[in-house]
Amino acid sequence: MVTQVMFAPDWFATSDILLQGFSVLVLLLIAAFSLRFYFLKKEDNKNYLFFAVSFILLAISFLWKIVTDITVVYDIVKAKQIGVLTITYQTLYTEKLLFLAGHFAHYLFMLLGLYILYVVLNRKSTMNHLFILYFIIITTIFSNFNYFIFHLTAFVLFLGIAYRYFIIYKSNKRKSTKLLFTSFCILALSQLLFMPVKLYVNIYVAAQIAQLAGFLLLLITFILVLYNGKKKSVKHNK
Amino acid sequence: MLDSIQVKGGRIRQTHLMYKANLSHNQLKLYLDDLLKSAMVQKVKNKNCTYLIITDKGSEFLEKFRQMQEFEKSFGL
Repeated sequence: MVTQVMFAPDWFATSDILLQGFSVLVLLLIAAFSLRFYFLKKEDNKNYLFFAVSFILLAISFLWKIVTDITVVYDIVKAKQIGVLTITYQTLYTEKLLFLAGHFAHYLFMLLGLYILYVVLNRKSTMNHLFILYFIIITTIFSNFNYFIFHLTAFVLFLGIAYRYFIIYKSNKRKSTKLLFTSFCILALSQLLFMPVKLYVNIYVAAQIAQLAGFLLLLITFILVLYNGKKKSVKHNK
Repeated sequence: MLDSIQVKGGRIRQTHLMYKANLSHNQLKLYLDDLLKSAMVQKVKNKNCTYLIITDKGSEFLEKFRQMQEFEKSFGL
């Protein structure tokens, strides 16, 4: 019964949690550096703070997914071991509530994080934030009935962020910005792959691998940015 | 200012710094006091000249600042 609400194939369940753990690490690392830079130069530097907040929200979103997925995996094992019908049923009921609450938090934090990131990158935007916030909450509520809505919204937001990076790349011609554009395109693609997951279970694995590739590229870009900054310092020191 | 000192090999005369950083005497005095207070720069006397030397703390700050600039440009902040 529980496996119906979890899309990962059984053999992939543990790897799935590990892959999401990696995403959390990458997101928290970038958020930590952004916060560090914010404290280095606080005046007129709110963008760093919002950028960090968006990455923290994305990390919290994945953490919620990990917690819910761990509960489900643990629950399957427990049901097999005990095998007493009444006890198992009661446990499943509570776990399902936790699963729904966990996924609600996952959807909400992910969409909020992506939206804040989108707004940070589009500074001159005249969007009504309250209005958009309302739509994010509505999307989150409806995503609990149909996960497709969540992935579609996340896809649109990822694509919007990728497009913004493409515009930035056109003006600064930096390799790191080009890599950021590519990583957000891959992350958008992963959301696209998540959509038909109910029809083809194995596509979930492909979507998770695409997501991993996106975050891996994000990590590489981040390391490259820090390395370039360090390289400039060394060059000046000589 | 830190950048100008580092470009000159980490050691510069006060008047040279004024020209290199394109600052007036008053501006230089103001910023230099801050840098001396935060121990990013040190004054060292050598024969008849007074030199300004960038400290390890100053170099570390400059490195972080360059990383921040790189981060800002690449991530579009």
